[in-house]
Amino acid sequence: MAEQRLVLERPLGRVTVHLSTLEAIAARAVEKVEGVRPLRGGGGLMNIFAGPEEGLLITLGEERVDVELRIAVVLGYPVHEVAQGVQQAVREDLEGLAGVRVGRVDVFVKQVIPPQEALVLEEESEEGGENNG
Amino acid sequence: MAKEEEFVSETGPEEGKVSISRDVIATIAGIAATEVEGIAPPKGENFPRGGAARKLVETQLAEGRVRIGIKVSVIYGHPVHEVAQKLQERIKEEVEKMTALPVEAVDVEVTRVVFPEEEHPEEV
Repeated sequence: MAEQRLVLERPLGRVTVHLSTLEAIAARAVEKVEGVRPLRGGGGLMNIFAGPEEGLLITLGEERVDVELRIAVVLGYPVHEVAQGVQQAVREDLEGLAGVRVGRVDVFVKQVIPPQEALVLEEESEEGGENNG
Repeated sequence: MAKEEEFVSETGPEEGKVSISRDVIATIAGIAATEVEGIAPPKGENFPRGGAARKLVETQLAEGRVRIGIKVSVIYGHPVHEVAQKLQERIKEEVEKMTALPVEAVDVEVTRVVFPEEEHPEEV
């Protein structure tokens, strides 16, 4: 699959931004929101956002993008607030750090994760995923 | 060297001509890029020079004007679009100052963002 690019025409020439750049910025924005975890069965926090089927899908329009996200929320956090936080963080970072207009940010909360498991996931990712217990 | 490999400016029939190779333009653009805040140098080092720079910098000459294309990574936290615009200004300024060739456009391609914890960005 050829990588998609966002093309911005500027007075001094064309600015092309690879989609992977936008994905990295959006993924990092999601990570900053408290109470969000990647969906189970995926790799690390970044890996989960790697494929369009998994966590993050960005659709390019003309100088505008739409975002679709699949996340898990840690049990105990208010799901709608976390989801709204994700929407806001992704929109802010894409607009602020990439200069793109953001259309829709659709968030699908697919799972909730019990806090104990969330802790285990955190330890695993801190240890570089060596601990499989 | 083949003619398309260099940019020639005619100063006049008496003074002779000045010819500037693509490598020179690519190198000037590459160095200018390292001076822009937010641009991640390839592999954590200085911007490659000469022939190596041409992998990342493309130069075209059309009707006496230069068009430059450059691929870069941006350090996470810096606004990609603003860094790209500063890069365009900087490259146009430097290349025009040092070669006296008019720069028509600087096309910037942002291939990725580099996170601070990544020591060595992969080469794109």
